[in-house]
Amino acid sequence: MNRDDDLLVAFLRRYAPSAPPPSPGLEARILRATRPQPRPLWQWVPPAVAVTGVSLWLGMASAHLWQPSPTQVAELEAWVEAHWYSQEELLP
Amino acid sequence: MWAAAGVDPLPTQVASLGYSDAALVQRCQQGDPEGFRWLYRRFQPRVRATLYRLCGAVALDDLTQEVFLRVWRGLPRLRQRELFNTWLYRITLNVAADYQRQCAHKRTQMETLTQTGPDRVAAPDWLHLHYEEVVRQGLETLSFDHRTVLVLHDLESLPQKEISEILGIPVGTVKSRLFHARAALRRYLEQQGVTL
Repeated sequence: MNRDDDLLVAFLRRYAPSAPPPSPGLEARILRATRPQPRPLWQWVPPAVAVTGVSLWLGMASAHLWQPSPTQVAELEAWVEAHWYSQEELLP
Repeated sequence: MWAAAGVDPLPTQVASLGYSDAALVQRCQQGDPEGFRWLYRRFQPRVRATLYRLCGAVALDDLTQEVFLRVWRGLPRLRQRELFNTWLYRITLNVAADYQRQCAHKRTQMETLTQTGPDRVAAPDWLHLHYEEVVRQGLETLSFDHRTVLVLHDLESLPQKEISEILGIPVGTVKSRLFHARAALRRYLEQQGVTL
């Protein structure tokens, strides 16, 4: 820097206006904005609907999977017929 | 956003003084709840001074808040902690540039009327206040690019290399802008009757 620059910089540093102090609540405002906010209630609706839908689908699918085959139904009916009266004899 | 690692919080401001900038940034990144408060307190005056010299007092609180919110959002992705200062200046200048663009078409006298500079001095030194006002107005006469380089170099004392990294321009361009900014400001001061 030459002498002219030195004088200019010295003048600027001496008389550069300083920033006014921050408003009293600024720090708290900024820190509050950086804290994670609790999730609004309406934001829980889509996940809840999704979970309910998946549960229903799984329930229906499993019910379908556990439906007895015709052979199993026939065996069951034959067993009931064979044992119906024997069970009745046991009744008081 | 923050990883809640098992970090002992900084108990007092005194404790934060022992931390380097990079160490303080690291504590923030590790989820120290007090870390960001001390980071704010350490850098707020510098950020605020730069914003004030570039944008004036009208939206200073809002601009300061915007800078620190951008810092908070970006900190988890900051890998080179030792470059935090450069990174912070870059964010500050981006916020200032955004504000300048927003205000470019609606500069009114209102800005001048709401300046709070002279009111806050308890025992006014009128010559000092006059020169402060001359410098403030002189800075306003510069283009944003020239003002930015002059503020960072001559008022914030940043080296030209760091300014080139902050602004993403060659060092030669920094020198050139500084030369023209000083020349323009010198002319303005002479017009105002200031003898250096």
